[in-house]
Amino acid sequence: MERLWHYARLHKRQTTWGILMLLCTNLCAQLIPQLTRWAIDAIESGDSYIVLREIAGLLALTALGSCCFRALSRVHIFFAAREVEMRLRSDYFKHIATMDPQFFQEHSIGDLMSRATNDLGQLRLLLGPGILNIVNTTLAYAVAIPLMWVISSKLTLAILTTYLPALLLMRYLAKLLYLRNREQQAKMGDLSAFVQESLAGAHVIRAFALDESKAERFKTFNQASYEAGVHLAWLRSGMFRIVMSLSALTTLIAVYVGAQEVVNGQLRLGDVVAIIEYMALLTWPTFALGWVLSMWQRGHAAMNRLNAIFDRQPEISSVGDFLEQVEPSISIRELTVELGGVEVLNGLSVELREGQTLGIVGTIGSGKSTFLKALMRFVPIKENMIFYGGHDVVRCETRSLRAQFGYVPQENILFSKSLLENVAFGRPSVPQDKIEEALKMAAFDYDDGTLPEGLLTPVGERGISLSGGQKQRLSMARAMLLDPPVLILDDSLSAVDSETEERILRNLRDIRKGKTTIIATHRISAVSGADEILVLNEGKVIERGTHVELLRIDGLYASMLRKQELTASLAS
Amino acid sequence: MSGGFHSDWALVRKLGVYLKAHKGLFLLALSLYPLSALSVVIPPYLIQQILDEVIPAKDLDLLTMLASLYLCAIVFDYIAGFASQFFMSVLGQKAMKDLRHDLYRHVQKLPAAYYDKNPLGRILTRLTNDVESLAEVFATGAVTIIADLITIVAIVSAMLWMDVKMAMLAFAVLPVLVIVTIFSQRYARTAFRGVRKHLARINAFLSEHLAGMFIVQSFGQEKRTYREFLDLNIAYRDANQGAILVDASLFAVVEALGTLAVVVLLWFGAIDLSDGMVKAGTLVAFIQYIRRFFVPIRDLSAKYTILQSAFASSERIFELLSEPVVLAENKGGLTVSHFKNSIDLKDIWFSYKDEPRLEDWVLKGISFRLVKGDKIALVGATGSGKTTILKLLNRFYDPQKGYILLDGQSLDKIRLYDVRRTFAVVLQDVYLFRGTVMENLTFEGVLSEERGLNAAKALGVHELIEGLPQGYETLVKELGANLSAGERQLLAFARALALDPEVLVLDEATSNIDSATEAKLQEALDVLLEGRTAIIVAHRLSTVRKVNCIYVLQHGEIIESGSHAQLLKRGGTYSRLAELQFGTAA
Repeated sequence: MERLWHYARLHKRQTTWGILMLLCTNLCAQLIPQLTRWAIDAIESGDSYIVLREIAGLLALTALGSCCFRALSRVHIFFAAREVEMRLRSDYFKHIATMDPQFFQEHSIGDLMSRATNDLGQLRLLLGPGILNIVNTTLAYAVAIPLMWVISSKLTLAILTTYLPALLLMRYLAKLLYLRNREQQAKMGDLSAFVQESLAGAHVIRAFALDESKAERFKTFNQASYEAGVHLAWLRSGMFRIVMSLSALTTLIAVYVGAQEVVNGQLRLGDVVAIIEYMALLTWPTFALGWVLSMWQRGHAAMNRLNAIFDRQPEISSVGDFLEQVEPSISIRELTVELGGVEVLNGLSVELREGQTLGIVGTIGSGKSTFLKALMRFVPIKENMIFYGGHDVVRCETRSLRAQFGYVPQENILFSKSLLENVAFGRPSVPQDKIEEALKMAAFDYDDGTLPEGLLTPVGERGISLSGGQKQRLSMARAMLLDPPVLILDDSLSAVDSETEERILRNLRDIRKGKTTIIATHRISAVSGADEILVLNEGKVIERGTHVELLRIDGLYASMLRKQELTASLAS
Repeated sequence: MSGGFHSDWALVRKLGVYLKAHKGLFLLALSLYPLSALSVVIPPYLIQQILDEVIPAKDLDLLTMLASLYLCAIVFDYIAGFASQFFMSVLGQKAMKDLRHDLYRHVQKLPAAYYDKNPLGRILTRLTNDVESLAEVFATGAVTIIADLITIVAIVSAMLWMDVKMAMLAFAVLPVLVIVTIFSQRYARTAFRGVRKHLARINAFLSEHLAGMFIVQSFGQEKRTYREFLDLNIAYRDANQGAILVDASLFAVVEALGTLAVVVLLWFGAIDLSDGMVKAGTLVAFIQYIRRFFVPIRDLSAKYTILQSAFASSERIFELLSEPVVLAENKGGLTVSHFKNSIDLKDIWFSYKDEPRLEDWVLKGISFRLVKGDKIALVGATGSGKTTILKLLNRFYDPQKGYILLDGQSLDKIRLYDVRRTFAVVLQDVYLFRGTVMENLTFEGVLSEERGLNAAKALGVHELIEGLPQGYETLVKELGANLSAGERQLLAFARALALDPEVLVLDEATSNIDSATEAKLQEALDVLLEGRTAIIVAHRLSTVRKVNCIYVLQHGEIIESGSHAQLLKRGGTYSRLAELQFGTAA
C-alpha cells in the first residue's frame, strides 16, 4: 500500500479540502434534526407562526449550505482519486515500456491490461468512495452521537446496538455480493468460452454432424449460468432491503420507546422526532462504511498485483556507452544464444563492413529472427559476442544502440492511426515529402483507390484495413524513413508479389548504396545480390558465400532456389 | 428510443414470447407490487397516529398495537419487496436462458458463408453481453419502473388523503426536482458517454502498444508513446471529473430539495401548524413521505437509460435470430441410411461470392465419379480448389451450378444429418475439442469408450496416448506441449476411425512431420483406408500410390487424371508438382 499512499500524498491538499468540506456538510446537515426539534416544540407549545417561519428560514439556509459543501466535498475527493488513477496508470505504462521481451512472454497482454483496468479501478474505489465514506461516517457519528446523547442516552444506545451489527452485516453482504457477482461472471465466462469454441470449431461440428450433442452440452452451461444468475438475484433482492428494514426497525424502536418516555414526561415530542431524524441521517453513512470495509482486502490484493509489475526490473540493462557517430560495422564472434534452455543459435560468426549487404536464408525456426533481435539486444546475450563499430553491444546504452538500426519485422505491427502517422512512427516531425518518398521506395502505392483518404486513411486496429502486402510495405517505409546506418529486413517481403519484390529490391540497392543492410528471408530471390549469404539450419551456419558460390556448392541453398522456381512456374 | 415507437413495440412483442412461457411467475411478481407499495405507505401514517393520537391520550395499549402494526408492515415490506424483485429476476433469468438457447441453435444452423462474413467475436457478443444487458432490465431496470410508479402513486394518494393542503405544499418542489433530474440526466448521459469513449481509447491504446512494445522500443519511441498515453489518461481524467461534477451536484441538489420541501411545508403551513389545524405528527409523517418518494423519482430517468440500452441489445439479438438459415435442414429430406454405389460430381461451379465475376470462380466445371470402395486423390498447387471440393461434399456450401449426387440423389434433397454422417472429414488443421483425449475420440460421449479405445489401438495411437501424463484423461489444452502436429493428426485419424464412416474425406497435413511419426501415419492411413471409400487431398508420395485415380487441379479445373505412374509418364503439370511436393524426379 506504500506506493498508493505515495501517490495519494501528491494530492494531499485537494483531499484535505474535501475532508474539511465533509466536516462542514455534517455540521450543516446535523442542524436539520435540531431545527425540526425546535419546530415540533414550537408547534406543541403553541408558539406564534412567526417562530415557525424563522425556523423554516434557518432550515432553508442549512439546506443550501449542506448542498454546496456536499457537492464540493465529493468533487474534491473524487477529483483527487482520479488524479491518482491517471498518474498511476501512466507510470505503469512508462515502466512497462522499459521491459524486455522476456517480460512480455511471462505476462500476457490480457493480464497486463487487467491490472491497468480492474486492479487500478479497485484502488480508485478505495481512494474515492473509500476515503469519502470512512471520513464521512466517522464525522457523522462524531457530530451526531453527542447531540443525540444530550437528548436521550437510552435511545442513543438503542440505536447504536442495532446500527453496529447492521454495519457488520452490510460488510458481509457486500463481500458476498462481490463473490456471487464473480461466480456469475465466471459461469458466463465458461458459457462464453464454450460458445466461442463451438463457433471456432463449427466446421468440425458440422462435418461430424455433432450439432445435437453440442446443443446438449450447451444446455448444461446455459443451466449453470442460469443458476448462478438466480443465486445472485437471491442476494440482490434481499441485501439492500434487509438493510432498509433494519433501519425501519430502529425507527420503530425510537418511536415506541420515545412515545412512552413522552407519555411519562421524561422527553418532549420534539426530542423523539429529532432522534428519528438523526437516525435517518446516520443510516446511509453506516451502510456505506460497511461497503467500503468490504473492499479493503480487494484493494490490497490489487495493489500487490500492480506492485509485482512496478518492482520488476528488465533483465537487459539499458545503461552503458552512448553510441554516436560510430562506424556502422558489425562483428560477430561465436554468437550463441539460449532461450528458455534451448540453444537457438550456435557459434555464429560474421564480419559486416560499412556498405555491405548480408543475406540470411533459412526455414522457419532456423534462428534468423533471433540473430536479428540479438543485434538490437532484444535477446539476452553474453559479453564479447557482438561488436558494433568496435563497441561490445552489451556495454552500450540500448536506446542509442537501437537507434543505429531500421528494423522491418516479420510480423507487421502497426498502430491504429493514419497511414502517415504509421510511416512517421520513428520520425514524427519529418516533412511530408520525405514520407511520400519512403512510401514510394517501399513500392506502396497509396493513390490506387484502395485508400479513400490517401495518406490520412486510418489503417485500423493493427492495420486491419490494409492487405498483407500493404502492411509489409508500410513497415518497410517506416524503417526506410529513418535512413538508418543499418537496415534490417526480417522476412519482410513474403506477402508481396514477385514483381513488387523486384521493384523494392531495386530501390533498396539504390538508396542503400554505401550503407549496411541485412536481409533475412526464406525467398532466395531477395538475397541473391548480397555480399555474403549465410544459410542457417537449426541455429547453425551450414553454408555461406555469395549467390554464385552457394549454387556451386549445390546444397540446401541451391535446392531451395530450385523449389522456388518450380513453384513460381506452377503458379503462372 | 432506438428505432421509433413502431419497431420498439415489435421488439416488445418478440420479447413477450419469451415471457409468456413463465406467465405465472410474471403475474405473481406483478401482483406483489401494490402490496409492497402499501407497506411503504403505512409506517409514516402509524407515526402520525402515535404522535397525534397516542401521546396526547396517553394510551399505551394503543401504542403497543400500532407498534405491532408497524412491525408487521416492516416484515411485510421485506417479504413482498424481496419476493417481487426475486421473482422478476428469476423470470428474467429463465427468459434469457431460453433466448440464449434459441440463439445457440440458430447460430448452429447458420450457413458457413455467414461465418465467413461475420467475426466470431460479434456473434459471441450477441449470445453473452447482449443477452446479459437484457436480463439486467429484469433484475433492476424496466420492471421496477412499474413498481416505482405504483409506489409513487400510493405515497401521493396517502399524502392527499391525510391533508390536501399540506400535500400540495409538499409537491411544490416536485417540478424543480423533475426539471433538475431531466437536465442533469442529459448532461450525465453525455458525460458518461465521454467517459466510456475515453476508456475505450485507453484500452485500445494499451492493448495495441503492449502487443507492439517491441516496435516502440526498436524505434526508440518509448518517451513519445508514454506522452501519448499520458494525454489519453488526462483526457479520461477530465471526462471523469466532468461526470463527477454533474453527479455530485445532482446528488447534493436532490438531497437539499428534500429539505426545501420541508421548508415550504413549515413556511406556508406555519399558520395552520401554530393554530393546531395541522398537528405535529402530520408534519413528521410528511417529512417521512417526502424522503420515501424522492429516491424513486430521481431513479426513474436512470432506469429509463437502462431500458434504452436493453432495447438496442434486443434489436441486435433479434436481428441475428432473423438471419436466414440457407442450408436449412430440409424437413422433407430423403433419409439415406447407406451409401451403396457411387458419388458423382457433375459440372460443379462454385464461388465464395454471391455474384461471382469470371475470376471469382473457385471451381469451374468439376466432374468426376467415385465408385464405392475406390480411393481418389486430389492434387494441385495452393488455391487450386482442392479443399473447396471437400467442403462441398460435406455441404458446408451448395454449388452455384451443377450437382453432387449420392447414389443418384442430389445432396440438397437428402437430410443434412445423413449427408454429414456419410462422410467423415479429417481436415489439415486438426481441431480438437476442449476436454479429454477420450472425449475427443468418442465425440464427447456420442460413441462408446470401447469404440474410441479400439480405434486408438487399431491405429497404434494407444501407446502414444498412454504415454501422456493422464493417459486418455489428459486434457486437450495440455496437449500443446506434449503432441506434435503429426501426432495430433494421428489422433484425428483415430477419431475418424472410431466413427467408422462410409466415406473418408481427408486433407493431408503438409507440415513437416518427423520420420518416426510419418511412418506411423502411413500405417494408420492404411488401416483407415482399408475397405473404405476415400477422397484425399494428398501431399505425400506414399498416399498417391495408394489411390485408384489422381485428379490434378489447376485454377479450379481438372487438367490431368490417372494413376501416379501414368501421370508421371505424361510429363505434364503433375510431374512438376510431384517433384515439388513429393521430391520425386520426373
